[in-house]
Amino acid sequence: MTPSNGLHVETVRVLLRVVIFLSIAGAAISLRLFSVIRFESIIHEFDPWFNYRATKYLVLHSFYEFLNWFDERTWYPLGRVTGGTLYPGLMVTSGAIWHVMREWLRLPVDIRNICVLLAPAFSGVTAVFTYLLTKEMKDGSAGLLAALFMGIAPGYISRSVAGSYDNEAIAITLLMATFYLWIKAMKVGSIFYGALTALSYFYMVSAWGGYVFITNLIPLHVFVLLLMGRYSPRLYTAYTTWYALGTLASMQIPFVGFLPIRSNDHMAGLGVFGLIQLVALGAYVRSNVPSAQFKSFFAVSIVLVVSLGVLGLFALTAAGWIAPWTGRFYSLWDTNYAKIHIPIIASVSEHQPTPWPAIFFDTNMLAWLFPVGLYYCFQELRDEHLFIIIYGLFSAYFAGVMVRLILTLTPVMCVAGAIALSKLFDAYMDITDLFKSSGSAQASSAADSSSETEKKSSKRSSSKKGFPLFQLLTKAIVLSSFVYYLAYFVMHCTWVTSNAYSSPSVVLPSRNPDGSPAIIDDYREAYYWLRMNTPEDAKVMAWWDYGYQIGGMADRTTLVDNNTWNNTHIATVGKAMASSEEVSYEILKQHDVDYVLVIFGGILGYSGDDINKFLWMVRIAEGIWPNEVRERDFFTDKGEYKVDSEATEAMRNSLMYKMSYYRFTDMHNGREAVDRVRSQVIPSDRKITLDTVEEAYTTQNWIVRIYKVKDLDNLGRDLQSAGKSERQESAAALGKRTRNAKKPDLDLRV
Amino acid sequence: MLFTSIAKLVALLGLAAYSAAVTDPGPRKTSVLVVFDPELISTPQDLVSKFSLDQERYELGFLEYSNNQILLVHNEKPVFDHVVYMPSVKKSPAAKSVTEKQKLLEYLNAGGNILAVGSVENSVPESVVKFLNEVGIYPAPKGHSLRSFFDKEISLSEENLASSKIVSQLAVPLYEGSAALISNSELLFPIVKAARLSFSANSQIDALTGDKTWTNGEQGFLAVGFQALNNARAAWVGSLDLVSQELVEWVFQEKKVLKLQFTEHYKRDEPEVNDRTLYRIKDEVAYSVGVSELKNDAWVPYTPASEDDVLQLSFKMLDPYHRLNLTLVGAKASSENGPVDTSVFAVNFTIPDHHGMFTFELDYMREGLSYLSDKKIVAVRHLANDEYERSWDITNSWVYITSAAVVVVAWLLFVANFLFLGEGSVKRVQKEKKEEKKE
Repeated sequence: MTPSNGLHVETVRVLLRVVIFLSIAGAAISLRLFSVIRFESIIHEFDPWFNYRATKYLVLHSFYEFLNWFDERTWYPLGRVTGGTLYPGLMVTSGAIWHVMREWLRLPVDIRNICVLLAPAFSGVTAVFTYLLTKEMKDGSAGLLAALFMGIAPGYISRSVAGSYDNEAIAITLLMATFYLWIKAMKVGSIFYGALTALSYFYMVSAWGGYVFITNLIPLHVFVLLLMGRYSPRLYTAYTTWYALGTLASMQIPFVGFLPIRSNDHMAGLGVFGLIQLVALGAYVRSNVPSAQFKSFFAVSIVLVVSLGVLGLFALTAAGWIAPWTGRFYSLWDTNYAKIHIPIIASVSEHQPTPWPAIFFDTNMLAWLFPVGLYYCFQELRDEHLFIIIYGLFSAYFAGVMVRLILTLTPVMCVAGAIALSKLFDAYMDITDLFKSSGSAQASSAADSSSETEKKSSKRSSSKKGFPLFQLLTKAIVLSSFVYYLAYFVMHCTWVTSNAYSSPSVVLPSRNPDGSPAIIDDYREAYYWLRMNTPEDAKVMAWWDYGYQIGGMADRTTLVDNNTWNNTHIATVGKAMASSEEVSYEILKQHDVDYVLVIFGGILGYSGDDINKFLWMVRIAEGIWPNEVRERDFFTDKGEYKVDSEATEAMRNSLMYKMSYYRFTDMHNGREAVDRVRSQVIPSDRKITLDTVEEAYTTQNWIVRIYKVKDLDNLGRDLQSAGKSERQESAAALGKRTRNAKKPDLDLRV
Repeated sequence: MLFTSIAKLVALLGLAAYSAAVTDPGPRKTSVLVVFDPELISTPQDLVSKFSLDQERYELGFLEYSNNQILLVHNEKPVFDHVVYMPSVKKSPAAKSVTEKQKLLEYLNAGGNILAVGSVENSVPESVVKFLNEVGIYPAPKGHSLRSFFDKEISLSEENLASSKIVSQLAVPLYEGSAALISNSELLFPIVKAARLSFSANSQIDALTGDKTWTNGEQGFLAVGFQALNNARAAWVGSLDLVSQELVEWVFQEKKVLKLQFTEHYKRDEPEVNDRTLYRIKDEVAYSVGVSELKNDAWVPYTPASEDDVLQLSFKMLDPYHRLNLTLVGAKASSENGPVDTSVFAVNFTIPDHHGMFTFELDYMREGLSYLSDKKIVAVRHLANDEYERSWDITNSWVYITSAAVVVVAWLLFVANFLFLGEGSVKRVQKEKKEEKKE
């Protein structure tokens, strides 16, 4: 680092870094734009539609109106206190960007485009924080590698492509920021960094429910440090500052409220906060009291504290002061818990355990670099390495339990992988020592902290003089293989992103018979029909998966949506779908339902349809009404799930089955028709009749079918008998005369 | 063909006479179509006096069962306001267009009123009976008459009235007619019931068994009214003797007809904002409705006849949270400068401490009266962030506020003490250090 004539080496280095950063950000952002280029600037999937709708509400109203928003268009008729039950961070962020663009920069940008492009933009910032975090672990070059990995790892891209306007889009950025600031605060022991950590933590709390991960990870880190006897005033300052400020700040989010002091999920932070006070006291006492007395003091206080703590926890939980653990929490430990107790959690595909291929698919070579990085962390084992180890172990476990938690595993994989790879590069790229004399080689490698390299190089340089061909060759082979791996990694990430994670799932890609690309746009067709053809206050019943989309695209009132806060209400909808017409009609009328929407993939072979989700509806309904809806009734005697001629009576009579297959055989001119999802033949002889609802709209590929709920019969008959008499009438018109001089079978008139 | 043209001519002549005679635009004449069998009734004009169908008030049309050229419904509107079916000899006469069940349903759904008259020997055509069956009235088949072993001649008096809401007086010295079974439909209003010891059976049969009788005792009904959900009315009577002016007025919507003039709700402290769609929990709300009743062709304020007929409001979300009787507060005009024609019923209540989508539901279904129903859905929101009580207004919180303040003050005192006073004060330590250095 000696100053040269024109340029400082340091300046070049900074310049290079900036260029590298810019290109990483460019790669990260452009990789996420596949979806916009392939399709259009559209909000993806399900949850983002709600976030988009909430953001629109925020920019059209004031912040306080948003905070106090009572949403009367969802969860009819319960309504949802939306302002108090969402994490506002995402909406406020894009709302702020929108205001800045419009009012300061005078750019009349559409809020939709901000929402679509927010996640890619933030992925660039994530790369920066990953760099900073990794730099704290090792050095700048490892940081740059980690930033690159973070920019293109599919595990993170899956939640941050353009259009995937979800909480995770900014939450991962904030996760890395909080971790970086925490490491910094812990290392420096400054109140300033502690407060910054708390601030970043507050932003995180406002953005994503996954903040609980931080709430537990930092105390765990501190706890392990305390157990290892690494207590220091710096740790005390950092932790207490973060905990006190962060907890108070997090309680300002209405949805979080008093959870940090009442929920079991948050108790670790409080416990460690108490513990560190005791440890600080102990450290103080130890410095003032002879060691023999300190030992007895220590023993007594340990027993006292532990027993009091455990007793207190039990007592508070029993008295209901501390909320019991939530279901999602249990399912983290016992993967079967949800399946048995909470079907609604298990019904979400992203809550399923992760298969091995998924991890490789999402992280590629990081999957095997990750343990190596952890190993290196163990070798050095400074306080901050301990953090990476704990973070790595826990997130690896959680990612194994739930598919969606690969998202939290990916950053630590990037960091650990980058540490491992940069260690390797440090050792193999450094060829200067090969050409120096043994003495100077030793001197230069003494600067390197790795003792292994040192030994090797010294050995090598002492044994051989002259041109070190073999050494160079081995280095070249190792390096080139890793360059290959890296190149392959980039290819893999690009391929995965373009093929797996760039579909908006609102619009489905397909191919025409001649091979040209086509788009199946049934969802938007149906939602647009609802928007244009139904009264503005019409209530639409559909399975909860489609609630957010109906609210966002069709702008109609829904009964249930993806914010599954009321299991009973969802079970009611499940019951209406799984019951016979007369039972469901009562439910429909009680809830003022005007339209029922079902997804049917039998024509196209679209497997994500409602008949495939039907068992979950049955299970969830059975959880509330075990006597009225039974899962067993929907399986044949052989235990098969059938929709063809062997379908059970409960199946054939259920509203869902009828609405899905209504007039299905007519499509094939009244002949038997094959359901292409389940590869079963729908018999044509059993005609499906609907008395309580009538078909209102079916989209081009039959994916969405909308039914209108009929009014009460004007003559006071129930709709089944009215329908039956009408059908008899038309049968009679065909020539079958029925005479009814028979005395009717009536109850006594009272 | 001849009969057809005669019927048409009658209808047309009636219309022409009406338009020529009446210049003063009084109440609109309602049109009545009487369908009859000329084999049973040779001079249909006699029915006019029997039904007390005043030519001044009604536009009358007579149609024979052999005529198949008249439509009941055109463009989803009833062509005639009321249709009367007289007994027919033929079971399925030629006039399909006015007797088919589907046509009758269509007609009723379009708002037309139907009166069917039965008799022992000849009932209304079979398809009209089928229509009655859909409604829930099952008249005895042809040939069944109401009989009794105890009375040779069955006479009907006010004791036989199942309810006096529609018809208040009854005196038939000798009843010769049919009886019907009826279902438990809530839209049916039994008017006249058979005597306890009577039954209906084929008059040719003497040896009776249980399956040969159609009705038994008070389960047999001689006159039944029906009001569909769209307030169209229908009635069946077992004999022409039971057709009274009261019954005809009821079927033809001339009495017991109610009209909902308005419903409104507002916050009691902001009465000027009417029909708001958003309330807050625990708001004080006023709800009122205006109801008129048709009497002698004019709308007058409606007064419920008894305690049971009081109007009720449900404030519900899945279940009613409130179900309140509305009280009559006075009368007013429904239009500006119009006559006083509307009773105002009102109630005040407090919205429950529960947010959600609530419905102000008025559901008034009383025997014989038109149904009134009205639903208004409003959102009830939770308290906003600045609508809670301030902490210092809650006496319980004073303890905590005080303790927080004490901690702050104590900390300040401690810091002052640590810095400037006491033994280990920073100043003194620093001074001592300096002194040490100097030394």
